[in-house]
Amino acid sequence: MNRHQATMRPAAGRGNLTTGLLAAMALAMGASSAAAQVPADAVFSGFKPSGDFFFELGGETLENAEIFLSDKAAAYLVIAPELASPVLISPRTQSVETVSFMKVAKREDGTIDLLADASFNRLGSFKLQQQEVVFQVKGKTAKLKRKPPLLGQHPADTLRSYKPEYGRNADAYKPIEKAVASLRKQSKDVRVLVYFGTWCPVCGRQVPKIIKVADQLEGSKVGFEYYGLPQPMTDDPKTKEDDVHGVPTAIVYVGGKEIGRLTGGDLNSPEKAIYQMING
Amino acid sequence: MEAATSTPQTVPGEPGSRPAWQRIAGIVGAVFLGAIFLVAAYAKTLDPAAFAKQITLEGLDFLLPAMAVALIALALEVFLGGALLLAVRRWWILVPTSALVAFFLFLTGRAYWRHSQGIAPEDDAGCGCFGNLVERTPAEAFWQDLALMVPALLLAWLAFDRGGARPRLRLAAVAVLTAATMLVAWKAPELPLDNLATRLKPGVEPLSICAGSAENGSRVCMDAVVPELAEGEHVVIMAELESEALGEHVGALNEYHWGGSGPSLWVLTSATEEQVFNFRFTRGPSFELREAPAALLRPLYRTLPRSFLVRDGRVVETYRGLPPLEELAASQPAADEAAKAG
Repeated sequence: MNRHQATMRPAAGRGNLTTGLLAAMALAMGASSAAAQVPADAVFSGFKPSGDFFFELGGETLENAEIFLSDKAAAYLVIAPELASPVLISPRTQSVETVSFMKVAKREDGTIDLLADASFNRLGSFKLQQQEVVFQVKGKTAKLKRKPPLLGQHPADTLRSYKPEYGRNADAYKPIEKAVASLRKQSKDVRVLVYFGTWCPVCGRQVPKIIKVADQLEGSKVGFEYYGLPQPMTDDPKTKEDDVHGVPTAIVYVGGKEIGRLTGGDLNSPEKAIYQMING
Repeated sequence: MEAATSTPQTVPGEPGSRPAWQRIAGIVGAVFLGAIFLVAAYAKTLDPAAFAKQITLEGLDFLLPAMAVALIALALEVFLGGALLLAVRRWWILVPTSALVAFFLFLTGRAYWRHSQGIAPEDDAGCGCFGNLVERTPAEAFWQDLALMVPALLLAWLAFDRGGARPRLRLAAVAVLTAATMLVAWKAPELPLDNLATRLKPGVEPLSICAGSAENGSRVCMDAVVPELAEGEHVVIMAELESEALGEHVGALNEYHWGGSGPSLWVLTSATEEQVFNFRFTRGPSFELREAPAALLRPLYRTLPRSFLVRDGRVVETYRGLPPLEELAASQPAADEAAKAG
């Protein structure tokens, strides 16, 4: 087994309609062996699921469209059952191209690579119109639009599915075991209310850490709630009610009484900050 | 000679006829007020562009360009501050001083009133995560200015000097100081004064730089923006996303970032969400952008872009503009060197 066989496999279904379609097409066309032998493109690789946008074609939102972003290529890849081929949007060249399903390989971690021998068919260029990326796909207007913010109270699973980045960053975070173990031993009821904005990049880095800590405290006396705010956040009266000035802000309650707040650098290690707050 | 022409007089109402405590209190008040003006002028002299921006935000550039207003205001502040420090307390110094104090109070008072009416100041909103970072609330600013300047001004009037010959030597000294200040302010943007004029200089721990106030819950520190700076070697660029100075070097920065050698690259910006969107889709950056509140970045630069090199949480070098990427890429990070040596 070579290096690529070990790390890469053709897009395989992982319970999603789009990837299922992708896998079926790729397998039917014999892409399995090709993907195993051809290395990933040096630039167009490492596409990760992105929760910043949704995709519209001919005025209709494609609910099953998946949007991926490659940090290295700074490019977006859109895969949807309604699209004959995945669409690559490249800001550096301002171009929109299609790429064959056979040249798309999905890694076990859910990221996607284009294979080094992929060829691209140019659809045209895109335009930016009022914070939307607009282009044409076979005579239909296609738009990459920003997702509206997730508002109100939601469980962590909703945050993970709404913004895949949250799940990814949560998985990557390693809480301090000692602090988590101490928090698990809490005898009093602790509630942590986390105000966040899906539009806020700082939340994208810090809220996942809280989600990971919450996962590890599952079943303990420490519970977490997540409340999404609009932009500007002052549009939600809850910010005035709870005197929230910025996001993310985590309000810690013990026995129903607020004992403190975590903001800014506190949330670089939320388990440590919560532990210190509870134990003075 | 000045000493001969400014002999104290003893007619009623003249300085010589005042009780000693009154004269001493007056002198202290005038010197204190003069020192306030000069300290305030120092920062403005080193970074007149920031002062001009403040003038624009306050809407005071309706007659002249903001930079012209800034230089005139600076000249007035230095001249009056210098005169008060050198004990020139004639009516033609104290009247404009009173007017200047009244004007400062008008500005802070107006901000206080606007705040109480829910009228937000026109400032850069940034990404919107950090809320409104204020070191002092408008109310605090108004009352602090009132408490500092008004008593000092009233005391200065106690030592009001009515007559005698003009203190030519002292006025000449003040004029020279004012002219020198104007020259420095005019040339300041070109002079290598960034380390002197800003809070960012070698030796500083950038993660401990904060903005906002803990008391009103708006405090944000750099450790919330780039906590990674605590360890290892990093090069950080502060930039405006819409500027060509950054835009035309995106390719080189991408190449550096993915080259894998040299310190890790971070670009800090106080751009809005819309500006970030436009930058991503027009320039295609593949390095990491980190949004920081404008209030946090503003004290760290005079002009953008400005860059700095951080080693294990401490600034070791600052650069005007973009950093020397080729040089940095060729350099071996200190940690790697230590590992090799070990």
